Amino acid sequence: MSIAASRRQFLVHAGCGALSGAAFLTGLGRFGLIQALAQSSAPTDYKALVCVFLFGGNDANNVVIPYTSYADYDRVRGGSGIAISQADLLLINPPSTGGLTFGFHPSFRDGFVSGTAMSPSLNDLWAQQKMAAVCNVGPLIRPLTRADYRAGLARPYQLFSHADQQNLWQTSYASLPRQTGWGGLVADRTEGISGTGQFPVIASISGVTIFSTGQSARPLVLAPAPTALNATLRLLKTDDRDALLRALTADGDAAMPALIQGAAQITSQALAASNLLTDDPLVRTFPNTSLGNQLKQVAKLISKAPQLGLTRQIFFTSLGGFDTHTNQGNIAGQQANLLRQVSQAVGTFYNAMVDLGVSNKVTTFTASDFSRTFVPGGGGTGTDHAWGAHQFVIGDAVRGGDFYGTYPDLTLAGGVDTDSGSGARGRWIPTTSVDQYAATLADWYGLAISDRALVFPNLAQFSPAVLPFMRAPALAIASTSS
Amino acid sequence: MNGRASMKPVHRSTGVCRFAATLRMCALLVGSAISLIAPTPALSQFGIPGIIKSWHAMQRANDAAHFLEQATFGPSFAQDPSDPNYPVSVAHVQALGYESWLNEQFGMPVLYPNDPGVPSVGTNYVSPKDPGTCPNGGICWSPTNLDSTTCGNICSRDNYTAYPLQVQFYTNALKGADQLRQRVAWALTQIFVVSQVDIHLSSWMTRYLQLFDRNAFGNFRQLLYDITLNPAMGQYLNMAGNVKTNVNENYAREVLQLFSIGLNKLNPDGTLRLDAQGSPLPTYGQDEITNFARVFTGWNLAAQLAPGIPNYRDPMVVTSETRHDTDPKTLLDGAGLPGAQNAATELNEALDNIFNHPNVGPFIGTQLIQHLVTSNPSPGYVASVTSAFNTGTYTSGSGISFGSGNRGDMRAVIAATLLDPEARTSPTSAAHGHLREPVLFITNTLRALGITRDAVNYTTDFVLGESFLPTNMVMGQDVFRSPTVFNYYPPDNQMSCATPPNCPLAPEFALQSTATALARINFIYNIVYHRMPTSQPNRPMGTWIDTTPFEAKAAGDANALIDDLNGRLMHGAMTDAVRSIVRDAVTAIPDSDRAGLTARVREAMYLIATASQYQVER
Repeated sequence: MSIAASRRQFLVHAGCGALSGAAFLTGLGRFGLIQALAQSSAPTDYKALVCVFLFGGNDANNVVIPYTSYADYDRVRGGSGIAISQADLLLINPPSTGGLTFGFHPSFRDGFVSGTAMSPSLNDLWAQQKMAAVCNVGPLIRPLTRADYRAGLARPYQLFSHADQQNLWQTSYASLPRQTGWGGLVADRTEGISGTGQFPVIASISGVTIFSTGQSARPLVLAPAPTALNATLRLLKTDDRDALLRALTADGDAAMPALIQGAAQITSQALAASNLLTDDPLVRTFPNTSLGNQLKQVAKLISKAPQLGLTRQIFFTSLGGFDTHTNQGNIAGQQANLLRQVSQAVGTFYNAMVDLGVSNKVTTFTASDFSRTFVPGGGGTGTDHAWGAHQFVIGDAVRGGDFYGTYPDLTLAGGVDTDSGSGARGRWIPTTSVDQYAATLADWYGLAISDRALVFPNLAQFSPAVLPFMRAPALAIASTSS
Repeated sequence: MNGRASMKPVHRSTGVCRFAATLRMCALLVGSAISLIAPTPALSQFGIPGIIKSWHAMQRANDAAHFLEQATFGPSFAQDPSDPNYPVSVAHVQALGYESWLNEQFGMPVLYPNDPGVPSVGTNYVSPKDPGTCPNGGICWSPTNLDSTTCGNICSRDNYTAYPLQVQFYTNALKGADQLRQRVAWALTQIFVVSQVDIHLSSWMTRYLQLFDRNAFGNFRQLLYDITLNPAMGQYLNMAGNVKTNVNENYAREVLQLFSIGLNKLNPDGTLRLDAQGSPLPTYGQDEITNFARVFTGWNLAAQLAPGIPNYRDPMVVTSETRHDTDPKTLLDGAGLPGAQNAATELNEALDNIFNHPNVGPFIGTQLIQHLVTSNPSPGYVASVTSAFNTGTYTSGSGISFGSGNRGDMRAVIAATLLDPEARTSPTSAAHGHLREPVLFITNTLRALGITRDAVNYTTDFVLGESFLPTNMVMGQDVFRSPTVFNYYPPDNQMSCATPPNCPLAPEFALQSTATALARINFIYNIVYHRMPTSQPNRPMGTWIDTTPFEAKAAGDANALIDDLNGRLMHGAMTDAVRSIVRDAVTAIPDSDRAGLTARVREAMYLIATASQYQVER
């Protein structure tokens, strides 16, 4: 399709010169990263980032709701099928709001109980100051006022389109779609502090994603639990692998047509990784849900990090079903069920990190295509596509229990609403960019300041570049009780 | 540029003839470098003068096989005209020529022409019977039990999962004669996506699938109308029950973004149209979406079929004109609807507005090319398919015309796609071709290697839907269960390569991960070594390959076996490097007894069907 030929002009040459020496190699060796990227000093501590992507666009307006100013919410959503009543809110008092009270969706109260083991809910983690809320985050090319937006200036690429907004969130570049994600690029640029292991730093338990794709880092994709870790990449025919490998080498040759090379390289990578997954580590019981099973697999891989020789890891997990144009529900129903699943799975994962003694070294964060229209649609039972959303960051290294960014003005056709007039739906222009959100996580992870511009090309447009929701390393104490 | 479709032998990109600029030069190279060509026993029987003639015959057969890889779920190699697969065999294509074969396929009847649910049109998917009762409640329809309205303990499976439709799909794909219609219909279901992930009942999904049978060789405007009013689509994208007081934008957005024009303005050759600054031009904005959403108000499911049984069968109807928005609206490119019109009138005007947009030809045409032929068509190729869409006709190089002359004629578009020189000649671009999506990987392999013991007994229960296969064979494409309306993979997915961001388009690579790459190998292992576990009641037999017909060729130097598999799986395009690896591995196995021959056949099949150069159809 010749669209690609023209689009090439627009795709970002994000530091291509610097990495052009990183020739794509086949077979073993951390999927082709070469020593030229190694940095001289090598911290030996461990850190991991875990992305929980909420596919479809989570209606954040029903997750963090004003209590003190509930009237602002009730005025628009009151009486609709999606309204959360004031009495049902889980009350929170974020210090940075200067005395205002807000409330979480009641699903955040749900923790996972297994036998006598009880894992914290997201509300519990907030109360323990291990969860932060970053408000009204979204893709931005530069800070944008409502007047700017109405005048058509600096609008991110294809707002309100699922596939494109997922791309902008995963690449952290709002100008145009990229084919490399910030997770993969961070993995590329932190090669020197990632340890000596041959196993890939970055893994997705949720299929192939842009987020995990770097310029040299290639995504490892594994099946979630209940597939045992050593069965996720297992070849059934155990004898006579030699011919298979020789054929893969032949087809991976640079002289072969591009698509054949690509197929060969992925298969070679799979075989190399499968050799290293030799056992199925034991971790605590997780909820038997889609997200629970993915995070369980992540926990197993983290437990294997010392054995695999890794001091840095990045993971991608996801949960779908958030595109609630109709039948969103309120305290019960589609969204409530999904949020419960998130609360239980993430809370259990937090406890699993405490089990391993790395709860101050593993940070989990949410992302989503976009938030949803403040004004309901679908006969009052659902919501349509919007923009700025509230996201959550969890871990002992998080300066939790507070809001970061700015909770949006909920005024329709005013404030930060993209829309105007009597038909305004309430789509909030973000006041914090994905770039700032992601750069903060990357900074904590160990991305050098000098590498920020390469991974986050638009970051210099925003101030501050890094938000204060992560603790300084000395202050991040691991929990010892579960 | 019109196709030069012909049966003249063309070079494949293997062996010495890759470098030959003309056929005559190739023949000279053949003559002078005989020892460098992978010989076949058939050639050596003829002696030197016959080699050239037979080499050409082999090439013609390979070209026909390649054509069938694009036009069907895999070529048949039947030689006998009484074989039910003969209509889609290499021999038959060679006898008819491409154009006549296309016309024969255009006229090929569906599998159930007399299905009462789709009178005078017929279908490839059996219409649901009137609802009966499941033992534990719920409606019951079992296509595996056509005469009964009760289903027993498989009621849940057959009514609430994709199982019955997946079994029908794979049965049709592996046995049916109207292969071109099925192949095009399968491509269309990946553009006009409705998924059983959200539309849980197989009865609903059946009516959705049936409309591709009747529209695959029809007109795109009719397809657009039928899909817009299909009840499953109405539920999936919320047009059912859409009212002017609480307008839902879902269908309006996706009908533009995915089903017709896409996000950015295109030239007829598929390239982006750019503004003076070199930026792409969006085809529409939020205002247009809002206006289309207001057009699509007032519709809902037709009257219940029985108490408690919503109407999944008939097109949606206008249930309330008062809920239809009657304000004026501005649609694409400033086209204005005056207002004060009823819902059905506005619907047709809106669909006309979409259908006549210049983007439809290149947007849909490019995707059809990607599904059938190559992920990276040249601008000239796309322009030719667009022209066929726009004019409704396509004339091949031999002067044979396809299409009625009406814009949107699918036969013209299909002919333009399959007869273009870029599809019919050796690829010159390194990025040509496409990764066989899991469905094609499964069906191509099974059709090439064979699923029958004899005319009656099959070596498969046709249970190949991945949610009913063991997890170590899950390749990422659960038939009729796309994860979202964006299909299993997006058309603009690029593969990773050494020179980002200039990497080839490779939609199917969005499914190719470390996990699914090994799943493909495990699938081949299970079917070739007869290791697929069975599971009652859903997978009673599993699927395997009967290696008996191949064993005679496996003896000695095994070249006959390798040549045969090369022709069946790779239309003769196997590289010398892989041939030599396969030969070494196969001949290392002793051929002294039957067990040895079987082992040789299995080793050859395993290595060839897992080879990356087979994974990519080119």
